[in-house]
Amino acid sequence: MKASMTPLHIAVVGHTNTGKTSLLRTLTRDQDFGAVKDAPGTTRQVQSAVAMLDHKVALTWYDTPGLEDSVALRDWIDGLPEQRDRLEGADRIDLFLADQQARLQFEQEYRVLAQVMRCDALLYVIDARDPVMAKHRDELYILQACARPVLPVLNFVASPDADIEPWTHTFARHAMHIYLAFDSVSPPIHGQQMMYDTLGQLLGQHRTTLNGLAQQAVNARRERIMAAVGLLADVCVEVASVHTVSKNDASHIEQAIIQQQNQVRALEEQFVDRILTLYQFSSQDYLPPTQGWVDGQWSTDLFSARTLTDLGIDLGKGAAIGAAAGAAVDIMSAGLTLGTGTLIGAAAGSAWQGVGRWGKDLKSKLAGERTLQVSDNVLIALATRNIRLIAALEQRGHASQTPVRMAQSIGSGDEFEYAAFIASLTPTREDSLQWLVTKRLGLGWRSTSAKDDIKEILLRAQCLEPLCSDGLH
Amino acid sequence: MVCTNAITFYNRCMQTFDNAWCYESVRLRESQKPRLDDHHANQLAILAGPDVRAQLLARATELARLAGVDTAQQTAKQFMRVGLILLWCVSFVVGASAGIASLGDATRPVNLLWALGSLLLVPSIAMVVWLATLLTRTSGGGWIGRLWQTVVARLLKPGATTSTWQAWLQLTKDAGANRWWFAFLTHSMWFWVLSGMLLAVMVSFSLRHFTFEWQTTWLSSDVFVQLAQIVGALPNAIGFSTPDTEMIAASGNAAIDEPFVRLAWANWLVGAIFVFGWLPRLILASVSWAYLRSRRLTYTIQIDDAYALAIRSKLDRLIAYSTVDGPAGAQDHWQTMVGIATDQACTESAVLALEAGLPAALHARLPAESIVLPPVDDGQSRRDALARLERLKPARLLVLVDARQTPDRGLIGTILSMGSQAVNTQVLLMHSSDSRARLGIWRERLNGIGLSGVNEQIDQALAWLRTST
Repeated sequence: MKASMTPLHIAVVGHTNTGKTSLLRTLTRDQDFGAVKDAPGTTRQVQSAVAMLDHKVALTWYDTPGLEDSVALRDWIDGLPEQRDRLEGADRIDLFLADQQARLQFEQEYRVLAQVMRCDALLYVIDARDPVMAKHRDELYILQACARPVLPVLNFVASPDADIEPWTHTFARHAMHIYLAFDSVSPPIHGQQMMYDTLGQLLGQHRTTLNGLAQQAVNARRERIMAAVGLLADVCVEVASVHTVSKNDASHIEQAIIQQQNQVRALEEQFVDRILTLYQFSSQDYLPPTQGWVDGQWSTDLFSARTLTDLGIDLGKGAAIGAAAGAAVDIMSAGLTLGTGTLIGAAAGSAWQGVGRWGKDLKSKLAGERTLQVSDNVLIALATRNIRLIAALEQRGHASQTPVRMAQSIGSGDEFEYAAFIASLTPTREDSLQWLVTKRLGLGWRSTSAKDDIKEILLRAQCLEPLCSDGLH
Repeated sequence: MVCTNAITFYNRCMQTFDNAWCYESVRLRESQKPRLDDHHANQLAILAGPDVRAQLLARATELARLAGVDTAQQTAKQFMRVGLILLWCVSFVVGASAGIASLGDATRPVNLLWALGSLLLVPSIAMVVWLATLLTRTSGGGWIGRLWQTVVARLLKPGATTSTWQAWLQLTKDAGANRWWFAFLTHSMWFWVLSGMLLAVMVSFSLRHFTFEWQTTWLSSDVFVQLAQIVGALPNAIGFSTPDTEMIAASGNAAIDEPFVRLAWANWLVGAIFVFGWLPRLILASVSWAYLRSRRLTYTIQIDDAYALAIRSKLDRLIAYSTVDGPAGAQDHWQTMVGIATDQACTESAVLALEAGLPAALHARLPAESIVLPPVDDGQSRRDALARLERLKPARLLVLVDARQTPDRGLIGTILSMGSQAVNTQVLLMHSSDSRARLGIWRERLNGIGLSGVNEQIDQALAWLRTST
């Protein structure tokens, strides 16, 4: 038991430019770890990264420079003269590490092997798109000589060029029967768990630690999704509670609409900012511009008529929503003539500006004022695109350097229960007192019950399903 | 030692409401600009570990000091304290005036039930209403809570202290202490109102000469006897002497100026206020205070929302420091390829595939005089090829490589050593049109060894092979 709690040291080795640093970025969820470039010899030193478990260092990863000339290195090691006894692999490595001349000739390889000899195990990273070549076999030969458990990791398996079969044969020939397919750019959803579980198979005496790390990864993912969806629920409630009071004439209403839209945009921007912080991504080119994303923000306007279509939201068939929303507006605007409605429509221009009309406030009516609120459509669009953003961020590897495509609506049907979503927000929208508090204090007044309902609804969103297969509730 | 002290300190106060309040204020402050410098606070937080809650609170405490949130908090607390005391003072004065007013000027007998009504009716109705809301509403702060929110909202302008107040409101709400705050406020207020009444009535009874009577126009005296006895029963049980049946009956519509009757009636009145007004309010105020305290003491900050998670990962990153094994190794230095002299060439041309296969299509188009060497990949084939090239000494050596491969040191070193056995060397980058081809790095690396003849097209390479010296 005691032995299993000693910190593990694992070196990440492999041929140059196979994505060792990328793998560690994804495993540690830190996109600032090391340097990543499509060029050989980007990493020139051994850099460590720590995984904590119960506030103690449980595992240290070592990112090593790439092996660049294993053929010559094998020649060197095999060329060692036989002494009194037969030399075993590890003895040869020790002799190599003791040789100052070798250190000069194989500067990088020397660092790698020195680190490997200090570690409990190693990950051998392979670019699965590469064919198996003599240099790879030599690398495997040398690493095997180090007498450490080796877990081959097939990187870039998501690429169509990847061919893993020759690799698995090669591993088997080197008595490596456990391997892991792990794309560091688009990692498997349970990537961290998979890594720790597989290492647990390889390192039986450290299984407690590795199981703990795997469980921790699962919990962390759950916590992350809950927190992210909580943030989104917050912003939905805040946007739903936005009231803009305006004088009841066309130019004032138009101004109020612009003011309200800016307010809503600012709220969404703030949300995106927070969500990127939560996921430890910077705001740089995360989503491709084709999806309405520029400089870490949505560029497609939430209020544009196309947004709903682009998001694949079809409200036409949701007759229930339409009826419910219509009924609500009818009841609330009792006392308002159709004429005022038409006036607003005219003021808002030909495009529906996403402002619902709620003539609830009697005082406002008497004072010739109108209270404008954000419409259902905008709330649905806001929730839909940002829940998909959460799903995309959750699946993105921290090694990705190119924009990933955001999941389009999976399957058919609605992203989440729109009708329930709108129904949960209705009390918030009607509560103008709450809005007053919000406005006066300049900050959101969280409505706990509405927020919890929204959170529940959003957690059942289709795009989160694959991420929550092991249960969130 | 300092560290241990710090930990005990944080553990001791980590659960208190004030700290949670401070945390909430700092959270609100941190969502605004300019950003706070949290470097030192993070270090302190790490020391406060490993408990996450303690870490978050320690960080917030330090940031609060930095951002002046702690002084704002002190001011807010003082404001609340002073406000509460003022409210109590006013309540006391109001109660005392009501008490004096209800007894009249002592020239006429005190109308007992009239006085009792004016003293106890409003407080009792208020209490019944409160109890009713307690039973009917399970959440929210009641109407007075909403009123309070509105008042705060109207009074406060967005600004520095606002986040402190907002945090307090939010926290009180989250802690479920909302209604208990208002309960405490109203009960303690009524407690002081009734204290004022009680004191005023007792002082009046001590210093002035009052006679008591009850009056009626059409009710029988039995009603009053029963009523007075019902009201007096509870006070009597705890030691207040109350008038007996004859005294009650005799006091109807005309006061009896007998000392023991007056004393009994005065006791009856004071007892009624004490038992039905003062005591329940004292109990209710104490209960709400106790409930409030327990809510505040058990309230804990959320450690799994987005804000807390972001801080936690920030702290983890600080603990999980990254080390290196030494300075970064120098970039590789290559010598420039120097071929053999032109007159030393023995053969026309040679073709060598390096870590790649020789495509059959290309093989068929090679000039007849070109010698094709076996492909080179491992150490043995490298040595064999080099030995053959040393004998062949070709005028032109074409090295075929796979452009999708990374030009590592082994490949470049091999090209260098092979090339130094030929007069001229060129490289053909095969698969150069593939999306994975790393043409840029190949050219850069080959230029690094002074090799400029890099072809991407087979035809080009073939044409070069055919040029005669």
